[in-house]
Amino acid sequence: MTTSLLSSSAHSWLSRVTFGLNENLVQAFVALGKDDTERWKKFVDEQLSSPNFKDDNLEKKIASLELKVLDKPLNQIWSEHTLPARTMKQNAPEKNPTTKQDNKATRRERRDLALEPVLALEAATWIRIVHSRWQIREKMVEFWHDHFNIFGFEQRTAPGILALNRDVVRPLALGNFRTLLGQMCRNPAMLYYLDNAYNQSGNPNENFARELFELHTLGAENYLGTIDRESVTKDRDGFVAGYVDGDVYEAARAFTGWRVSDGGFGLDKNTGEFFYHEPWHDRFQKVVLGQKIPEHQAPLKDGEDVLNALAAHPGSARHMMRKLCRRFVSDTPSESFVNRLAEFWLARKDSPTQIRDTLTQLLHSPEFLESKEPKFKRPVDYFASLLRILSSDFSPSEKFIQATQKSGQRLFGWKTPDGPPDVAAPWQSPQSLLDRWKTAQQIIRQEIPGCSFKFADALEGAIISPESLAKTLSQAILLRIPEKQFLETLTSVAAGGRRSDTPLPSELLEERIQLVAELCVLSPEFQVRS
Amino acid sequence: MKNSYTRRDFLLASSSLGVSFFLPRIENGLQSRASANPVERTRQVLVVVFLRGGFDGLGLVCPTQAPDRTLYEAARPNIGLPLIGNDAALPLTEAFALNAAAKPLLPIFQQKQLGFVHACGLATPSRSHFAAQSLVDLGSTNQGEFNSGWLSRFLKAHPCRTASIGALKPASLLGSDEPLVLPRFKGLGLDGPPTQQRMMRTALRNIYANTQGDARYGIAALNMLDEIENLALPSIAKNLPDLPTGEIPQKFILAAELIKHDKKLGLVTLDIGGWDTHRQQGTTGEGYFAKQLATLSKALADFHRETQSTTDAWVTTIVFSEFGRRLKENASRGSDHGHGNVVMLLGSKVKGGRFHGQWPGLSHDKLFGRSDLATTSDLRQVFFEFLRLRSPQLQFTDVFGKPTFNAQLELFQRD
Repeated sequence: MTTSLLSSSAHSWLSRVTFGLNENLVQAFVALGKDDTERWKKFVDEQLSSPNFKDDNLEKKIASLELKVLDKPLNQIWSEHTLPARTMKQNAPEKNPTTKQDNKATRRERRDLALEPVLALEAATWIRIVHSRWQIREKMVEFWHDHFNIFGFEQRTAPGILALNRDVVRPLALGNFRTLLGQMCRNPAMLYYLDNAYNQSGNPNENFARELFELHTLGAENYLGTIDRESVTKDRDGFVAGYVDGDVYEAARAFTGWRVSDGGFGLDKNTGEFFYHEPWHDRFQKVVLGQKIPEHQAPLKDGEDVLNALAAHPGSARHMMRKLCRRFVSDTPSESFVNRLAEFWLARKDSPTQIRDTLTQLLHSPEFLESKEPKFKRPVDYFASLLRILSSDFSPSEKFIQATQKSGQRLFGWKTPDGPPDVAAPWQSPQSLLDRWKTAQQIIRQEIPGCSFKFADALEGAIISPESLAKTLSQAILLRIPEKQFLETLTSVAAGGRRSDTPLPSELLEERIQLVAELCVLSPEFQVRS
Repeated sequence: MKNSYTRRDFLLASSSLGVSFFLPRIENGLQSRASANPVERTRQVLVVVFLRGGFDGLGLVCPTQAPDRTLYEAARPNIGLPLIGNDAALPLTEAFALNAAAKPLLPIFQQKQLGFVHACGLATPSRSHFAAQSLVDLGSTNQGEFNSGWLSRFLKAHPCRTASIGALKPASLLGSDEPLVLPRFKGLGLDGPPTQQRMMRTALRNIYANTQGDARYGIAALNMLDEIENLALPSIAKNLPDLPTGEIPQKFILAAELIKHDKKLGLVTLDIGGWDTHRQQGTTGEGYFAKQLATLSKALADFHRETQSTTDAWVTTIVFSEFGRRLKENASRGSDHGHGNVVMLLGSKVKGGRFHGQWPGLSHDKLFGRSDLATTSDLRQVFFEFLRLRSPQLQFTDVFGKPTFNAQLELFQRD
């Protein structure tokens, strides 16, 4: 049995930009060049510049799940999954005076049908993060879904979030931020989730506008509170020092009429797609971030002007770069690094490859390459890395989804618009940690369908004494030489009172392999990307 | 003020208020200590309930007298509390009435064990959830004033056992020694048979204690497993009747059980989300807010009765949010972020049955930013008087920075 071991630098780089290392990845990386510098450069180039991110094996795996909804256009998803549910709901009491139980059953059926798009997206995403060759791209897709968080497990948001992932986030994950932002703000799931679908002139609903400023662009660190707009200073380039409530109110007016054609409130059309409803729009003058938005503009122009002002503001660039650094480098990135990247980002604000170029810059920076601070794995990182290192075959069963979300993170299932946090503390809470450990044990014990392992590969040809079991298996799982004391603990568990240098009797072998594997994935080493 | 309850008091109170969740267990005699003798109260337990997301205080209590009533009705034609009809608000005082969905709280108010502080909130306004929650959690008037939670600073000088009910430690405990963070009664622990679990725990403790790098979080998790064993939490859970579904009642039941069984416990925190009602708020009847409020009120009332009657503790609870919601409703029958809000105080130590603080009124010139209920009481002053229940010598500046506009509110009975 041979386990390729990486230098600790390369180990750290790869584990930061992927959902976890495995033997294939390590071997492919090593084959890229003669030293780490050359390999890393080639790896990043290949990962970020592939023209179409082709991956036949992956597509085959996803196709085998037979999730037909994945390929349907949004209006078809709407009419086949959500629309019937809505109509049935309205008609159910008269047409169907059945028993309470029947009603419950049809309610559940309707709900299942309506949530099918997001359940399919969730399953396909698990397959992608575990099996895709294009790991950095998958990391960025995850990053944007976190940044523009939407709770997808609702009848109104389920169709839109599938379309968003497929038609917007995946194609634009490495593209241009302003383009991505614009598409995001027209997505029906987003419009429903932050109530802009109901935002109308006169008494606007400011939920969307507020989160657009606070979370999606400038960030709470640029919120100056309730003070008068007139007292906000401008820098020499004319950018305001931050935003105040007045900006949020005016921006909310700018997005009045951005809604969904869903047959509601005087609409005949019912396609589930984005719809600009002129009669709801507030046509009068607005001032946002110190910039005048004139009255009677062309349709959608008011909103687009707000997005332009937000995307061009250096405060937004810093907010975005801080989040990007937090994802890949450290929970507390240095401000000088953030500022440097923000300048780079702003200088490319009109480039179609703005995100890719900035990410490349980040991944070749000394701050990234020399980072010593481990990033604590979030639950999805953790389970993905577990499956990537151990699983010979994986498909996300219902039980898998249930068990993994106990640790507090579910793909497309974060309820509040701030998205799942990207710092260690919340995921290190005893509850989150214990639930992740227990689920990991259940996965290793094959108590969860859809995850199968072949430890035999790792142990092939080894003389299976407790000592060799501990050494071989821990290297195969951690892809590192384990610390001495850790190895001693593993050996003593593997031995269970027997001699550590004498082969284990075959009837004990399976249990001991399992326990050692569990301790490896429950160890501090395996909780982090470093 | 009555200092102790008897079983008879408790049953009478319960029967007039509908069936309490806790009742069957007491009838079964599992709480014989509490039911046989009057309870001697020997300790103070503080319970901190943070309603996250901007709880609509104007949907909990409404003004009933002109001119505020007229202004209220004009601003909230669809989401205001009515004074007549099926959902008519329940009169509390001459000036205020309570959302009918909060009915379980009414008798507690009448028994003077529930009080309100109206127009209470942040001394420095913010309408951002993030910024406002952070100011509340850290007990500060500006970002950067403190990097620890207000409860942590209190605990540092006046330590006591602390529990947080939920998945996460709230930011009010930022910087404190690990409190017991307990999300639920059951199912916490490793997989496998008990002997194997014990062996794994020992091995893990070994691994986490000896690793390079910071792995304190792992030790904290293993410690929690020990705590759960010490408290015999699984057997407590076994003796409970089936838990009601829903996060809110379960959290309060867990808190009550902890207070009963952990005699050293001094502080409990609970976070309850789901109050950011921008659309179709549904303040009354079958509406969203009404249902959520009904669930909260029932859970709070049950918790109050249970802890008052069966523990040897003075249990005092405060319920607050990061800000109130705008007076005027929006076009989608919801409410946007506002400023001043109502705070609830429950317990026998509370000067209940009344409204504290100064009601600024709803006229245009009295509203904050011409749109929101103003703040006339600093939330930090409420926190301070609440903490003083456990530490009578406490000074405001021991925990918070400079006092702002507040005079003493005198919210609690002092011995």
